[in-house]
Amino acid sequence: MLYLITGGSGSGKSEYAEDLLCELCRDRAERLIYVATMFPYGGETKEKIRRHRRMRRDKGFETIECYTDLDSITGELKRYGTAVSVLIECISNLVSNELFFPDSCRGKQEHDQTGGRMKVQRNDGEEDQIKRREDVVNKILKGAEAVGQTAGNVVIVTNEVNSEGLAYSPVMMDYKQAMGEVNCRLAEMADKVTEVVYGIPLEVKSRL
Amino acid sequence: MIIGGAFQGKLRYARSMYPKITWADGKVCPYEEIKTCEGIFHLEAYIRRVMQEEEARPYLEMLNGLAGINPRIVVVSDEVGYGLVPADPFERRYRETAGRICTRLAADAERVDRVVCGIGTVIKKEEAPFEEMMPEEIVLPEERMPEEMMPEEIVLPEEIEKRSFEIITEELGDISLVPGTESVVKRCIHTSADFEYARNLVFSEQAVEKIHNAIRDGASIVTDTQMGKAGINKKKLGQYGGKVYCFMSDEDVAKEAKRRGVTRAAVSMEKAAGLHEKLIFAVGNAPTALIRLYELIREENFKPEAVIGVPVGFVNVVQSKERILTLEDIPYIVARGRKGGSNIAACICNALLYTL
Repeated sequence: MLYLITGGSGSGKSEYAEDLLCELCRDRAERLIYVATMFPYGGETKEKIRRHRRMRRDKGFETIECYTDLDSITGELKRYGTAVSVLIECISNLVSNELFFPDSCRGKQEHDQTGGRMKVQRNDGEEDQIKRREDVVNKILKGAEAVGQTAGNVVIVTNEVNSEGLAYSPVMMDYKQAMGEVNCRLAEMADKVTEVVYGIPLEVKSRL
Repeated sequence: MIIGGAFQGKLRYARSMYPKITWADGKVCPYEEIKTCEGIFHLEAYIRRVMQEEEARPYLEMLNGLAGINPRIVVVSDEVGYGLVPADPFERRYRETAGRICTRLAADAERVDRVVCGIGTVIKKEEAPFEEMMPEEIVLPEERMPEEMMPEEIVLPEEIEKRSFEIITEELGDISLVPGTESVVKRCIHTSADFEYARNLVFSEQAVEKIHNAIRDGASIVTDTQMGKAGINKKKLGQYGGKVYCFMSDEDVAKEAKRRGVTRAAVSMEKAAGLHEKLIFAVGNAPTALIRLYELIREENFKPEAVIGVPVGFVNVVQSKERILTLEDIPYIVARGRKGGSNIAACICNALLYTL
């Protein structure tokens, strides 16, 4: 089963997603794998990561770090056999990493502090940009599909980044569009889509 | 708790849901007011303020425990978490903090409504225990069995109404009703089995006496639904010379309403005002009827004998009734809040007729 959880910042969606996966796997001897996508750039992200680690500590999750190339973790997942359930958090980081990471620091290995997105120069033309965005969207979808085939229950946390009217640079608009497309396609694939509003789950789609 | 995007009509929605409470504005209110106020709007602005000012920091920490400090408070807040993560560090922290606080408040709230384009959806509602669902002042005698367990009473047909009123009087217990209004209040409860009418009916000074006099003088009653008209005891009213009018189905009213793009209810009030008779208005359905009536009184010097304003519903209902409550020279009976209906309008008329 694939579950997609969306919501705004500070909406309680992570906690909801963790509890959901724990609940789904409660009576089964499954390994719970947490796929962390947030790259630790600095103090603030590190603090956020610490907060999430604290929240997960007692829930029995094992953490795999994966900043890009989601499908690369399937090998690792297979080692746990079929009895594995996965929480991927979150798509917004994965999309930005895929779009903005320099090619030199891909995969799930450790990155140094200079590998951040801030250094990225984007001088390519519009067509390249569209191509790149499509590639990223397809890649993430393929990755999610591959994880879905390897694991029992998969809960994916994403982020509603498009419900606002601020004008951003073309690069950021490109990111927003990629997020929109990924979210739509993940929702199509998902068995259940839930929006979390201040800790309250609102059902968007369910084929369960 | 009421949440939603900015400019979605949250406050208007909140005010119509909780018409009786007073509100603090999170943008400007003193920090400590949040501990005692009945309602606060712009909580998101309050959070921003307490984050920005060093000396207000204790209030920021207090917010997570607000449900313990001010358990009856109604909180209205913008949802601020959507969109890209802000580049500015303070904005980032603010957005996250506001989200966490609202998540906590939503967890503690009995009820959460989310407003989109002025339309509210209840996204959380805790079932209140039975006792709490009763109007506050009314406590069931402890020895009373649950009704479904009681053996059915054997009551003669003509005795049923009498017995009903006895039960109502018994269950009202110590609630004190304004002398002279008892028959109206009890008949509303009798019609609806809803004891809230013991609290929400508002009578202008000596309204019952004044309406009695008007009926004795041969005043007629105007309703805003055929249903209301059907429910009024016309025989009794006729003894004093009055009639019941309802112009809602009149062709000229329909045409005029269509031509001007207003409701038939509003036009039917105008048609009634043009009769130049002594009239009592009994509005149980259309807030637009009540609003037009109010305008006719205020702006065109129309002087009905009385207004019974008890429309039921969710849109403009509360506001329309509040307007009638501002009238000074016109006797009125108004059911504050959302409750009412054509049956209630008719039953108030009958209660008045039966006590003549």
